[in-house]
Amino acid sequence: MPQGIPAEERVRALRARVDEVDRELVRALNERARLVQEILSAKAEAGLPVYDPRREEEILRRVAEANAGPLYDSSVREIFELILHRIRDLEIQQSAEEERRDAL
Amino acid sequence: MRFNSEGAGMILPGTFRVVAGPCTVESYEQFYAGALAVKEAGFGYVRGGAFKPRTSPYSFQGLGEEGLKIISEVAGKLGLVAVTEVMDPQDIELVMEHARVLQIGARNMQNFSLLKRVGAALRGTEHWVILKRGFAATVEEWLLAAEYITSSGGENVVLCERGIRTFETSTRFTLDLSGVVVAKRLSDLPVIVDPSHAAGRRDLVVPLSRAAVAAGADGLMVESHHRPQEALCDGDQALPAEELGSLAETLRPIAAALGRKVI
Repeated sequence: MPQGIPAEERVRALRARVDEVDRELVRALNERARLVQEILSAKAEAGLPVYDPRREEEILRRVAEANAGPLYDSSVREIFELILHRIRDLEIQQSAEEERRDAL
Repeated sequence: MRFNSEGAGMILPGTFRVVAGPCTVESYEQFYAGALAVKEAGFGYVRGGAFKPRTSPYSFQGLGEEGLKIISEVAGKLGLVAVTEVMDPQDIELVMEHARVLQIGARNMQNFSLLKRVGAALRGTEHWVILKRGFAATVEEWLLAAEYITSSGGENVVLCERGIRTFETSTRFTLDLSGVVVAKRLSDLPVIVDPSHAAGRRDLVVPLSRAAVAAGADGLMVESHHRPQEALCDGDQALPAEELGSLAETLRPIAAALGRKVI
């Protein structure tokens, strides 16, 4: 961004771009959640457990490898750990609700 | 599900497995009396410790191999399945000779070399292992500890919640029933509950056992003693052996409501 523009204006413009990135992140996260839901219902059909630490580790390793900075690899791992777990929690809650509805 | 298809497994679909017995094997007579009460209450699994992980090195450490022999002899005589703790990788084979079900205690939950060795020893056998949750371990850490056993070849793993450390002092530990439900949702391993160690006092054992059934646990591990006041360890939390029958009675209707039979 040209340095001639007043700093306050640059902050505003950059913030608008950050907001745009955030919207994109939210969209991507929900797309990820939907895909995970599909995986988990397929897993349920196959009688496989939700918890798969081997696969989790594979994902965390892969995102850290894909990281070109400036974020630290360890930070990327941390962020993705949270993403993985929150999405998993959501799915577990939904399947528990289905169970409860079936039981009624 | 890792349930044994032949019906010989420790955890069977539609059942609620109760393991009961004294904390420690003190003598043949003591363990026989304790095991007989377990059988008379209608339970098929008896527990007893031969190697005891005690906080102080000066506390009674268990009878060791002699204790194991008592366990297998008594269990064999009464037609019960024996459950006992293994603490040292070098004792795994010996313990497996004397007990169908091994137990890894809370203090060893993250003893990864023990976990891997037990997993490898269990591979292809009819033996089971109960993995207790460490009292400062998260559910995630507990499941990962179990993964050490399963990834080393031991498929027959049962998780056991036994209370975690919290700020509460009216009980020895705090029984984390939420953790039981979460562990069951995440993994396909059976989860049982040890209300005796969690509470550290016998008056809470029955109510917590009822709560465990209601929360969907697959079984219980309860300490009982024919003379709690004389027990060499954990007498405060041991249920008098003659109360095991009424424990079974009180659990039955709750288990039935959830489609389970107390065994």
